[in-house]
Amino acid sequence: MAGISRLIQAPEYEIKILIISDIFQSAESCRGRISREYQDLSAVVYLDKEDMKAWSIKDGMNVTLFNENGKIVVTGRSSKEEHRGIGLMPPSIYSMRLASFDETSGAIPLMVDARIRRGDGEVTGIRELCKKI
Amino acid sequence: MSTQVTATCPGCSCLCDDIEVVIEESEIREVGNACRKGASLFLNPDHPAYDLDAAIDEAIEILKNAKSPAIFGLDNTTIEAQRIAIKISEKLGCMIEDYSSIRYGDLLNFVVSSRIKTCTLDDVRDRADISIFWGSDAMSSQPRHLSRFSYFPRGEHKQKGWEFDRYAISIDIYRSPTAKVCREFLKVSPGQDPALMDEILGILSGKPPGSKELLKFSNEIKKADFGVIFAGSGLIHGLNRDMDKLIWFMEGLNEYGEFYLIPMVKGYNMRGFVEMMKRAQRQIEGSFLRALLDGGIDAALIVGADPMSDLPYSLSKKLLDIQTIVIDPRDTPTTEIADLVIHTGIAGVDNGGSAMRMDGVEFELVPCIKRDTPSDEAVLTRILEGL
Ligand code: SF4
Repeated sequence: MAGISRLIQAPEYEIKILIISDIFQSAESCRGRISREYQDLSAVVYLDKEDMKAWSIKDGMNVTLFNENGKIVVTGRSSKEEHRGIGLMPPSIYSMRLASFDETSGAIPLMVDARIRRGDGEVTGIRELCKKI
Repeated sequence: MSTQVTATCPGCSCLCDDIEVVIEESEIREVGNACRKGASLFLNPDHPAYDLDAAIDEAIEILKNAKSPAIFGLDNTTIEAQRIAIKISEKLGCMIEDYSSIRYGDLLNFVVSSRIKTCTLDDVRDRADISIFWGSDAMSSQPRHLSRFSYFPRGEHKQKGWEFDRYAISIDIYRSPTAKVCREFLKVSPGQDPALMDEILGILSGKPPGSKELLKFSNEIKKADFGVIFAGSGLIHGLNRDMDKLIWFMEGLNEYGEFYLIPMVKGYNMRGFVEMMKRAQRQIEGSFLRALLDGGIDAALIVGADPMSDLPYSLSKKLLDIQTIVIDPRDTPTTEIADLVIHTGIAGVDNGGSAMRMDGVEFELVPCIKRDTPSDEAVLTRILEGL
């Protein structure tokens, strides 16, 4: 069964996630509440238009991002800028689910390798991400 | 009846001191001059009342019983609170760390110890011919930086402003909102910042340029009497934390004019924490992140920080295994997982104190409304006394 569901899953693509500040999301975080707006502005990946076309992802569609560190479902949004192969995400509990820690330098890299596919249910809730898996 | 006061915003390390706040019936009704971020902060509602005495007793108990506690965060709190937190760490003999070395490597230590030449934002406004945003996106993180200091304003010796007197360039791995506003954008591939530095100094010393853009930028550097690099974490990552390369580049630029560097720090008082540690003759001992990963911490006192949103899950999940106390005005994913949350007021809104702008200039944060919410300083002082 697991094999069949894997077969019918949407195709996966390689993507680099660049973690960048977003004024709208950080302004919402300054309100000091875990609000719906804060979640909507955090659970998002801004994608290159050509990538979206190639991967059959429409603006506002849920996408799954995953790598060896974790898996999240966020909203895919069309970016105003060109950045083929790169998805932009604000710093939040969502992007941090994919991020890794460079033990040698003690740094947290701003660019993360991940994979993307269409769909896979509802956007992951912030409180769900606060739980230990 | 409404009153109007001028306040200082703790929304970012610009510490804008021209915020017009309209107060009516002890509530903030309007906020003028602030950016979106700053306005959100001032219009923050108060937290519901809670038993502060019980919370402080519990915090003391957790810290007393811990075998290896640690203190973390502190970039978004006042200098006064930072000083008390340093004292608590001395009392407990424990580690204390902020995000400065995690995000910027040794950059801040090099700046506060004058190994890298720095200047004030007022100098920038009055004198800078060229502003270089390298791996930093002021428009998203310090939104009024360009309008108050680095690009748009008229300054004492810069009366013609950005149209004629100033040149601003963004060097980054993507076209950020700052890049869209600056006159030029130079795209650098990830990790290629050292090579770009070599190329720039090469062109300045007469080598042929690799592109028209680089030639233009190098000519602007040659023309400038006073230039500033606004260094963000993107530059530090791009340099693979190699500060010697940065020092070498700054020295190279200084053969052509006066060139300075200001770190575009994230927390509103990160610069203050680094200065306070220096004044207390303390150094960061060990690494909070490594200790967290290795299970070397059994209790964490987190002040003004949200590690659940700032640290990779492989690290932040460890906070769920230990006793976590959070002192913060906000509700965050970290307050969600904490064993104990002590909500405090916002400095400059509910409470007073002081903070250091990104350039090391100190500002007083005067409360503009009266609420009962305690300050970080008051809570930490009581914890210190209890210990
Ligand atoms: S730029 Fe920073 S300090 Fe100034 S109003 Fe905006 S958030 Fe506040």
